[in-house]
Amino acid sequence: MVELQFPQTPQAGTSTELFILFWIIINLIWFAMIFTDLFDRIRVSRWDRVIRSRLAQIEVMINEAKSNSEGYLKDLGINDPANVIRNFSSNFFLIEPVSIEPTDIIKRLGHLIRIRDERIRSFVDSILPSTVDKARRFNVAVVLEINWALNTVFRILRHLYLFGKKHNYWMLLMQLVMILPIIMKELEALKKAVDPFKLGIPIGDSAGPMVVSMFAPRDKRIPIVEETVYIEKEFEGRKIYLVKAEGPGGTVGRPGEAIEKLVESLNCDVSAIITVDAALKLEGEKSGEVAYGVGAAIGDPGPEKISIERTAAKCGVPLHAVVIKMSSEEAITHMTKEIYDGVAKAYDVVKDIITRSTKPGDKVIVAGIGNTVGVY
Amino acid sequence: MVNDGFIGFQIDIFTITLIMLLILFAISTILNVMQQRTKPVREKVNTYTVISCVNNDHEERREFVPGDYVGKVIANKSCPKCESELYIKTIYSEKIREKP
Ligand SMILES: [Zn+2]
Repeated sequence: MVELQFPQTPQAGTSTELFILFWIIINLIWFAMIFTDLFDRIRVSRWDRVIRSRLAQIEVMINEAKSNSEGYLKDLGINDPANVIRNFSSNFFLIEPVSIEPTDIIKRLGHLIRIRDERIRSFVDSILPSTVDKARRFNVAVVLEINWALNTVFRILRHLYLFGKKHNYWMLLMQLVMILPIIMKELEALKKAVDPFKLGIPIGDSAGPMVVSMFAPRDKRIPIVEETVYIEKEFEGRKIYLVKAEGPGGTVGRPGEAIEKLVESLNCDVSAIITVDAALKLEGEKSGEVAYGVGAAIGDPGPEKISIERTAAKCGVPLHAVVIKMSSEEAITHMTKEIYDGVAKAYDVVKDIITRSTKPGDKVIVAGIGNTVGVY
Repeated sequence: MVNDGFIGFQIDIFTITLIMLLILFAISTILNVMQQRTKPVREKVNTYTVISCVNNDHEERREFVPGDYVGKVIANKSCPKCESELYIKTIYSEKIREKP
């Protein structure tokens, strides 16, 4: 048994002195806890350390993505890939249109996005030798955009950290500590996205174009608007118009504009518009689940979606939506078997919608929304 | 001093407190270091290409080769059953989590 010797006992002289010291320290701690912010500072310094180590991890991630991309660009015949990526990463931004005056905002936003896309295309064309095919040019643009996104997020995080530290803004540092693990997961996924685009492998977001491609795997694609194609096909007596981005390069095309043009050229004689897209699943839901609903299934900043909705409303065409569920990471990395199974299921659902809601002789538009990397 | 004969040493409350604090400090340091050392789980990705006959009577799976895309017609090979064209039906990947 351990015998405890308490300081109150008279024979322990040194212990009594120690006890007084102990007591003073305890009281000092209490005082510091209540009347000073010493403990907050200690906590802040711990947060500071955590943020710094996480930012360092993010920097490593960015450099990995960058060296991976550099290797790819070098293989395509670019002499100074590091410089190209640096130039692109720090020079491309889009200033959002004025939103307190909503007239025309979609038109203005669409215009800006278009100009941005064109600038990126011309930048890519200026750096690549003319021997590189179109699909690879699209892929290079996406790889550059991934690097841009990683860099931009890092710069914003670093800004928040330094700003919080400079102004002793503890709340901001605490929020950073809380949110950094989530952001890091997203960035990790973004880093992994370089590989499929490098090799031209379908990603989760390619689910929509893949469903459309299943209707007509080898048929001729007819260009309709920039980077977007359509295919005319017979299906159980109906005439179906399949709309997708121009494959197999990494692009999302302009499905909204394409549908608008197609419906116009058919003089509104369309019985249904079916959009198929990848959708973010909720936590707990299974990847590759297929859901069916009403509306335009498309996740663009606005211009494409609104033109689908306006066209459908103008011509009174029912809008069907089929989505394949996946996580945000799965959406931008290699397409998994579960998602492919979802694609096959979505294909059946679309066929079912066509046969149930239209009659033979009708015209139906099926649009596969999403990035068509690796899908013709 | 009473000693009941089992363990023959004495210990006072300050020593206990000190030892306890030292142990707690050591544990928190170890936890901190461990937390910082957790490396992200490495992921290995195997990508497969599924080739199918246009008449749907034959299907085979092989490793992905750069240049493959869904809908591509295989040039120098035809269906072993009906001699028709082969095309790439799908490309999907399997992600295997590896522990370092
Ligand atoms: Zn065959």
